[in-house]
Amino acid sequence: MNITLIASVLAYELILIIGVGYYIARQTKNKHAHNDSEFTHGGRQLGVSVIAATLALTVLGTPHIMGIFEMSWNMGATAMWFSIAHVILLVIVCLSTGLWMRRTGVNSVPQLLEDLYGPFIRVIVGCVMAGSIFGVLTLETQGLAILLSAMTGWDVHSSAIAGGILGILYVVLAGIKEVGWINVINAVLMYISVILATLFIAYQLPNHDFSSVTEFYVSNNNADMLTIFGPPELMWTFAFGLVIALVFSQPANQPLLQVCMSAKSEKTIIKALWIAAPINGMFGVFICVIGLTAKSIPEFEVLGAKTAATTMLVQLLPTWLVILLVGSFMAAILSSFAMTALAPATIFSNDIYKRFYKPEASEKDIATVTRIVIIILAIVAVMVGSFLPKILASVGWVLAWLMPVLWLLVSGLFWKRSTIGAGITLISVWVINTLWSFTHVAEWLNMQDIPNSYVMLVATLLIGTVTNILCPGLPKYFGSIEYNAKVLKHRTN
Amino acid sequence: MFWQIFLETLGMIVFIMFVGYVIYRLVHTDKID
Repeated sequence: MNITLIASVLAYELILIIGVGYYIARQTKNKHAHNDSEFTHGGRQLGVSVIAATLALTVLGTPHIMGIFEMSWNMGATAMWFSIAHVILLVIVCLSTGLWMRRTGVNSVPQLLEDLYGPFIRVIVGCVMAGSIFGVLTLETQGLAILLSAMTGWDVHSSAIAGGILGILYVVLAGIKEVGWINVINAVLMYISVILATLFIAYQLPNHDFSSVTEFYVSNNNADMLTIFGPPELMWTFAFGLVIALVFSQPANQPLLQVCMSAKSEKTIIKALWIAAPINGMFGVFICVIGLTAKSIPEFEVLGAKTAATTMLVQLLPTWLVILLVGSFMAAILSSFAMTALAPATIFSNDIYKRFYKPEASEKDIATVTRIVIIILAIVAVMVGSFLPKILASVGWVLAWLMPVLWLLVSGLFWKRSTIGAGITLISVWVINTLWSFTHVAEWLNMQDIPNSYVMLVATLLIGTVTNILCPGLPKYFGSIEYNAKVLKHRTN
Repeated sequence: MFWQIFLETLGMIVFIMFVGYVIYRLVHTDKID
C-alpha cells in the first residue's frame, strides 16, 4: 500500500492524540483542577457528549470491525446481533449499574464490593477483573497489529509495537478526559467515513445500488442472510448466547462503569444513552453490508472471509477515502485499547496501591501510578498480542468470570450481604467455568452444544441464591446504616 | 438489502431502548436507594 496512506493515517492519529492530550493536560494544570480522581475519572465532571462517545466506543473495537466482516460472511445479517447485544448492554449499564456506581461515588467496582462484602472480596474480584480486562486488551492489540500490518506491510510484531505506542498516547497524557474528547472527534469521523464508503461501494455496483448483492443471495437460496432474524438455530446459539454472555457479565465490568463513574451526574448518564446506543449499534450495519457485498463479488469471494472485505475496500475506494476509513477503524480500536488499559490500571492504583500500600496517596501519586501501570500493561499486551494467540476462542470463558461479580453487586445492593456466601459463589463459579471450558466435563454430560454462558448463568443464580439464604449476612446495602453514613450524608453535605 | 438491515437494526435498537426506559421508569432505579 502506498506511503501517502500510511503517513496520512499515522499523522492524523498522532496529531489528534497529542494535540488533544496536550491541550487537556495544560488546561487541567492551568485551572489547578486537582479534583478527586482527575486523571482516572475526569474529576467526575464529564458531560453528555464525552460520556456518550466514550460509552459507545469503549465497547466498539476489533470484534465490531474484523469480527463482523467475518461473521457476516458466514452467517449473514444475523451477525448484527453482535451489535444489538452491545446495545442491550449499554441500556442496562446506563439505566441501572452505571447509575448505582455514580451514586455511591466509588472509583472502581472492587471498591464497592469492599463496602458490601469486605476487603477479601475486593482483592480477589480486583485481580480477576483486571485479568479478564487484560485479555480483552490483548485482543485489541491484535486487531491494531493486524490492521497496521495490512496497511503498511510491516511484520505483525512491529505493527503491534506501533499500535501499542499510539494506544498508550491515547490515554496517558491526560487520562479519561483525553480519551473522551478524542472519542467525540473520532465518533464523527467514523460515521462520515463508513457512510461515504458504503455510498461509494454501492455506486460501483451494477445499477449503482445493492440490488445485485440481493440477487446473489436470493439466487443462491441464501435470502435469510439478508435479514437480522436469521435461521432459528443460529438465533438460539449465536444471538441469544451472545446476549446472555454480555448482559449477565459486562454490566459489572470496570471499563464501562468507569465511564459512568466519571459523569457529571446520573442524569448525564441517562441522556448519554440516547446517543451512545445508536452510535454503537448502527456502526455494525455498514460493516455488515460491506462484508455481504464482498462475498457477492466473485473477484473478492475467492479471497475468503478474513481478507475479502478489506481488499475490496482498498481496491474499490479512492485513496483519500481509504485513508479516512482506515483512520476511523484505527480510532475505534484505539479507543477500546485506551479504556481497557485505563480500567485495570485504575483497579491497581485504587484497589491495591492506595488501599493496601499508601492510603494517604495524593491525586498526583495516583495519576503517576496509573500512568506507569498503563504503560506496563500495554507493553505486556503488545508482547502477548503480537504472537496472535487465539484469544477470540476463549472470550466466552473470559466473560463468564464476571457473571458472579454482577450477581454479588445486585444481591448485595438489594437483598443481602453475606461475605461467606459471596466467597463460595465466586470461587465455585470460577472453578466450574474453568472445568467446563478446559476439560471434557461438558462432553461427559452430553451438553457440549450448550453455550458456556448459559451454564455459568444457571450456576451463578443457583449457588448465589442458596448461599445467600443459608449463610449469615448483613441486610442490603441500599438503605443500610453504612450507606446512609457513607453516601447519603456526603450527598446532603 | 442495505435498507432492510438498516431498518431492522434501527427498529431493534429503538425497541430495546424503549423497553429499557419503560422498565427504568416503572422500577425507578434512580430512586431505589
